[in-house]
Amino acid sequence: MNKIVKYILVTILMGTALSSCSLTLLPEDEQTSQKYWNTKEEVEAVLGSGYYYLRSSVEQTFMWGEARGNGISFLSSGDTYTAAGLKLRQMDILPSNTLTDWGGMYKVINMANSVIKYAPSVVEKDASFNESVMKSYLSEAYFQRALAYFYLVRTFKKVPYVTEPYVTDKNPYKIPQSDGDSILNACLNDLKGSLESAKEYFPETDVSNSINSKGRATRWAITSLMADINLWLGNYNNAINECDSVINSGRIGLISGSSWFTNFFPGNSNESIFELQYNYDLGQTNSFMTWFYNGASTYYEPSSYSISLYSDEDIRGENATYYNGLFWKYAGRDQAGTTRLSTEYDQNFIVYRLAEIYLIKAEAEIMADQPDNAANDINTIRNRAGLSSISSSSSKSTMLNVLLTERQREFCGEAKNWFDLLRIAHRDNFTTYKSMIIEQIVLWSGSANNEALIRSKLNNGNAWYLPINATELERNTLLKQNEAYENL
Amino acid sequence: MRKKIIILVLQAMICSIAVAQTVLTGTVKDKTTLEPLIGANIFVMNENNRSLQGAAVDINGEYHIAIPNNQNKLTIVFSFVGYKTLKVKYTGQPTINALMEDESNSIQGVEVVAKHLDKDQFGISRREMVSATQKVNLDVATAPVTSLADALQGAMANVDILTQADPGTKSQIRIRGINTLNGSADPLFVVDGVPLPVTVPSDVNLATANTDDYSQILNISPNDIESIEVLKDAAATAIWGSKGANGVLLIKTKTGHKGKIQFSFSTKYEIRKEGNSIPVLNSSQYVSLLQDELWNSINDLGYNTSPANTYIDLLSNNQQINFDPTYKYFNEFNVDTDWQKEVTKTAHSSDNNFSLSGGGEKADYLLSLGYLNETGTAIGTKYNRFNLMYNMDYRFSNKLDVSARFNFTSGSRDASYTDGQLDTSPRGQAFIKMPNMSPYYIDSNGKRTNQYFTPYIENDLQGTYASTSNYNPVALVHEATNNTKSTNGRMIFVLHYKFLKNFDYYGTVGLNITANRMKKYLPNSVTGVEWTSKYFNLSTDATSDVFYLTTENRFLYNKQFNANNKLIIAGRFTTEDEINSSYTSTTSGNSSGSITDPTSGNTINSLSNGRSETRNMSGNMQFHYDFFNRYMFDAGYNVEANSSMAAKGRWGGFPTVGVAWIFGDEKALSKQKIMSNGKIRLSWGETGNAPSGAYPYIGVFKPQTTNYGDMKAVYPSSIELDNLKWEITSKTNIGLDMGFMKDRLLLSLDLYKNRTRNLLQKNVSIPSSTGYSSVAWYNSGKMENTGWELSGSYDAFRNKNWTVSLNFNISQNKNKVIDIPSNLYSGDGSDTSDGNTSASYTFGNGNYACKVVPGDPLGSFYGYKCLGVYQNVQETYAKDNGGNLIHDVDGSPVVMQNGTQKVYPGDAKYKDQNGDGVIDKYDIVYLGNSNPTVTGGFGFVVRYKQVSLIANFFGRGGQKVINSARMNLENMYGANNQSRATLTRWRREGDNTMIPRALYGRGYNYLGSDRFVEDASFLKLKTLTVKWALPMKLINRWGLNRMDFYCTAYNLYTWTKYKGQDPEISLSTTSGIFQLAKDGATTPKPLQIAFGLNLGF
Repeated sequence: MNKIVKYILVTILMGTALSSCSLTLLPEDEQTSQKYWNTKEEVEAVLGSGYYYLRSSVEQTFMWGEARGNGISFLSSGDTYTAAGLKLRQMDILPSNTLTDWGGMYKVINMANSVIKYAPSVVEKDASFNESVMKSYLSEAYFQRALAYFYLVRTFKKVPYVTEPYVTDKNPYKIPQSDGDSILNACLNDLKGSLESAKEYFPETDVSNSINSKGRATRWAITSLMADINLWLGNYNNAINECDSVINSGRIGLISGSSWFTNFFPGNSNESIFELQYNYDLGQTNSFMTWFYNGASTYYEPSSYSISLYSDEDIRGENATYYNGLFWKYAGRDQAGTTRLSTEYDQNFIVYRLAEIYLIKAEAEIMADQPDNAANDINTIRNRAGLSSISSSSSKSTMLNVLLTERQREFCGEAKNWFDLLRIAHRDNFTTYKSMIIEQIVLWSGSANNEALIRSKLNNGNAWYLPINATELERNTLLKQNEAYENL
Repeated sequence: MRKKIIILVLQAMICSIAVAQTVLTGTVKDKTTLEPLIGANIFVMNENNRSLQGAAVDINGEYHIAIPNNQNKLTIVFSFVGYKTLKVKYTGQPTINALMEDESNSIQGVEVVAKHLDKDQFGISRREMVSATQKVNLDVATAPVTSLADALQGAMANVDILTQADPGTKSQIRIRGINTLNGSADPLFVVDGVPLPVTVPSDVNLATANTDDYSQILNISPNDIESIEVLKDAAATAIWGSKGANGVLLIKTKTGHKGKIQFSFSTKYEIRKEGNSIPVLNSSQYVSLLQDELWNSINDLGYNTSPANTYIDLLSNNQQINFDPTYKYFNEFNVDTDWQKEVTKTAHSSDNNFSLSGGGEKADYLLSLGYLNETGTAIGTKYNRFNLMYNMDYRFSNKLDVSARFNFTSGSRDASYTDGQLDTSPRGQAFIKMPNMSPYYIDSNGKRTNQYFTPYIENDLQGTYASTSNYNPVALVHEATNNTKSTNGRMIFVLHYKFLKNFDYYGTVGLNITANRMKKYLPNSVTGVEWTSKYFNLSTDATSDVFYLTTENRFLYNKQFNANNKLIIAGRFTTEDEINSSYTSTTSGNSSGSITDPTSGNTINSLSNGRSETRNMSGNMQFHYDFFNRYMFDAGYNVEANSSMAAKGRWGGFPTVGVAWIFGDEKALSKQKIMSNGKIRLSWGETGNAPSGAYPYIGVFKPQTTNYGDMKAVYPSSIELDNLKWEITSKTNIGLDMGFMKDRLLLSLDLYKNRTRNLLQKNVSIPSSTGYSSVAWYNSGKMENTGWELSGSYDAFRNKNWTVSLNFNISQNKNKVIDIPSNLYSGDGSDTSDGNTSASYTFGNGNYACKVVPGDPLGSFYGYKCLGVYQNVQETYAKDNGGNLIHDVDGSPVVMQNGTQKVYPGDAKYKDQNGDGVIDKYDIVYLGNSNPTVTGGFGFVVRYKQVSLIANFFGRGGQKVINSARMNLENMYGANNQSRATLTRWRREGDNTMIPRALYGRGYNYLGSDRFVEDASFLKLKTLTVKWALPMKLINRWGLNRMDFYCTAYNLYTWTKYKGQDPEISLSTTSGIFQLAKDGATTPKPLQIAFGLNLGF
């Protein structure tokens, strides 16, 4: 009898022990974060998501770079970004505008932060993942993060500086804004540190697939970004050095003369430094044809001011940048008027190509009182486009105007226009060049009514930046609204 | 016989390990008749009452039993069914002849059972308890019900139960209000000491598997229940841990008892009939309303303008409402159909139960069988339940006993077809379906054929199935199916071992297995869609299984030091493991209703499956100290861990303390005669609530929809929530129990305050600078429930012929949100595709703003004040808050605007709170909330000789309800049929009415306003029973010991001012955290008349 009691007791206790062995239960049909970060491939896949989010933010970054300024015009109502961009163009900017939603960029930042935080620990777990490969991943992550912050700072001025990933809820959700310059300086530091380990190209993968040299951040992409940021921050000598290093890299060269159009079709040209990649065969298509080449329903067209900039001898003008008043650089196969086949609706979005490095250098040289060098660099770009050389001038304003016009011709519709205007205008805290740039902006303003509005609004330096999104302000009580929009 | 077989089997088991030595013989006879008792049992017991050896009397009336060696103090026990057990000390005598006494001659045994103290699992008697509990002994025979919730409704204070009329549907039970926003607010059910899994796992797709399936887990037949006890305060629920945070209902099933075998049989037959429905317009009234609607819209727009053309076209060219004999469906569109009548019927139900029970010295048993067949008044709704229960207790010795509970239930429920697409019930559709249309094709003689008339009509006035869920409700109730079969097996084993006189061990293992299978089919005769549509012959096949295993190890030390000091220490360790799995497939284009399998070549619309597992464990210590039998002190601490939280926040500690003083026993008071009992209780404690779902804290990585070039792209789709914590409710309770006139009048009063902190917030928006827009769970905010409850019973009069007794309970609960992150929650009360209430308010007809606002209770809704109807142009001129006319720049008066539209005479007039001439969201004010202020019930029993009259009332007061059903029937906005109230709509100046003019597809005449908010207070005569128990003398002659006939009427009368069909309205399941009560035209409670018979023999 006592035995029976014991057996029963043992059975009950066994049952207890078995059912309570662990309280950490994981779902069987999902990849949990607790089981992630074990292999090199997992690290690379998160890095891939960083590029993915940069790519999925293309329409937003396009609108940030083009909605204001004088480069494009809006013809139809288009989609929500078009409608929001039109409000920006009309200087009717409210904190509820869709374009004030910065979530897309912070998605990029979160991916980069995740890689930066977790990749080093994976080296110990995966034998195929060595220190140098890991560091090259880190350099790409720093590039993604810096590029995202660069967009944010130029658009909002003060934004929360997040450097810890939100894979767990360890970090506070609410982060106050930091000053834009200090964020960019921190980013520059990161980039400088990672430059050493960055890849010049990606030899271990399929070289014929240009994503590996143009679609991911190489050392030259990182250097270009550093030059761009330095130019923004006013570190002109650094910018000049960095541009030189890219120009002399031996991996990238200017495409001359009539081949200029191969920058856009097929893309990933010799001149290209970093492009966000689409690939029809891999199911990565875009809506550029709808945005840029859709007859009367086209969302975005080159402004008449932009078109007026091209002379007949300019190889970048008709049949290259535009055709029939629409953006041909995103729609054509060649300069003979053949449109892309439907299997070619995978136009890349170019972030940096060598022509810009020359022009960044030129602008830095203008500001660093080297007008002759600047004229040289501008002429490199002019000459390859079939235009005659210009001579230098000691007036910075004159030179800047020449440079600006050259940039407008070269990069029409490449999301550079507003950032160029803003960069020059914001120098010396919106004093020296502000009115000059306002004159530039009103060169194409849509209507006289609009012109007056632009002049009066942009008089306030803060109005050059977008307001903080209303929902975001509600969710993050530590944020402060841009002073120019406080009363809205 | 059964008992004997079991005992013999058990004996055989025991015998196998014993060694026989000496043999004892003898005879066993009836004391009076001296006839041998063949089959009587003989046991050899040791001092611990442990049976060492057993035998039975043979056909000669003799027995032989071996006496084990080396044993002292043995007792020989003789037992036989229907006879008093006889014990004889064994002192080595070779022969013992026993004479046994018939038990029917003695009633002593029964009295011993009755005196048995009612104790909880820690051995604390009711008298000694410090906590707020209330117990109901179920006597189903007196008020027959088909479900547990029915039995409890109105019977317990602050146990607010709302039932639904369709057979087999889930009831909403809330004990002392709602303490959580996103956690489960359902109470815990504990059956025979083992918790039942009643929550719906979050992984289950609610769009396809509805929550009613899970309520079937609860389908214990009320006939099998002996008592139900409700535990309300923290001191009482503490030991049940977090699952008991919303209160606990302890259910005890019936067990056998010592004595002669008893059989009982009960049968019930019931008729149900719905009350009068909301009257709707007939054909001609409908057509003229539609013409009125269209004319008004055309006039507003101007006859010669192009926007009016659509309406002109509808008015003049639509064959559905025009008398056009050339129309091919002329016959079908010129009838007068009472759609409501076509989808309802008078229903019949039956319920049969049989049980047998008995027991002896060693074992008690009870076997019960039941079959319920319930039909609803909505055609196509039905519920069948078969249940079998076998409870057994076996005492091996004074030290060891075991009990086993087996229960098997098989239920089949037919419900009206619903899925994510259909947003109205067939009843709702029947209300709005055009009355001039026929449900069936009409033949040339003007007679109905048996073919459903569900044509595909281009530009159908009422739209298509895909666009506006327009379908044939008559075809739906007859042809569409929605059947859920659920089988449930429950097994509980309890082992009790007495180590020492004061030290006991209880080990419990509970197993609960449920399997549900749902099949739904929506044939094309209902929808009339084209064969290419994804709704064409739509079928859904779903299965779900729940496996639930619990264990409990409990040690109990109970020491009475002397007459004045008593200590109880209890330690308890429990585990729970719940595994859910489900599978759902939806297919369309099926060739016939019999083919629903997704592999049979049709189109698969969706497939999903899920599997999840949760574990919970808790350790618990309780102390109870009792001085002088008057002062009680309780303290406990519960440590609990749940697998739904990360390691950091997984463990929670929850203390409880309580004191009680039985002041009625103080010498100073014990001399007086009036008060017979007086006790004050005070308790405080904390309970925790874990987030629902299996893996809510786990972060997940997912692949992006496309990669980036050659690079694989994977991202963390959700954040791992390491900071997730328990939602904690601290509960304070003060109670007073009083008894007067030798406890003939009992009163019990409780005051309580429950304060919840770290409220679990679901899908909380977070700054997008994190890279996410929301997190699944977040702890923040505070909420409070305060209230009181009073219950009592009065045994007013009792003599040989008369009994009069009363019972009542009344309670009040007040909910208040104290603190919540600003703007966290606001919505418009409209339903979104994910089954939750929309997160933002949109200005529009029918939308109510709802918010969770600090200071206001949960379930508050906000909207416009409706002032009636604009009578003339003068009235439509806007006035500012000073009452002055507002003029425009030209100096002409500005006309009021409802939203973007100018008002005309006849339009609804809302209060312009800010006086800006426009009715918009800034004119929204608080309109009320869905919480009742008072709930309660009362009942009485009057018996005269053999006839009893039993009545139970149930009521709720003060809750506001959005009468959506009325809104849908009075909006006059489209081609839907409307209620007859719209006949009094505004037509010309001077019409004194609250109902605005009809306006087709335009205007804002039914904005969410107080016009559709109604007070749904009610008092219901829930049951009224007349029972006739036949006299013992008579039935004894027939070999019976009980025979009752009864007739019960349910829902006989409701006192209410509510304009809808039934004021008993549950909170809307889709309103999420807003907890709104919306009347969506669900089946009203029918009048039920039942006839029944109870037999005992």
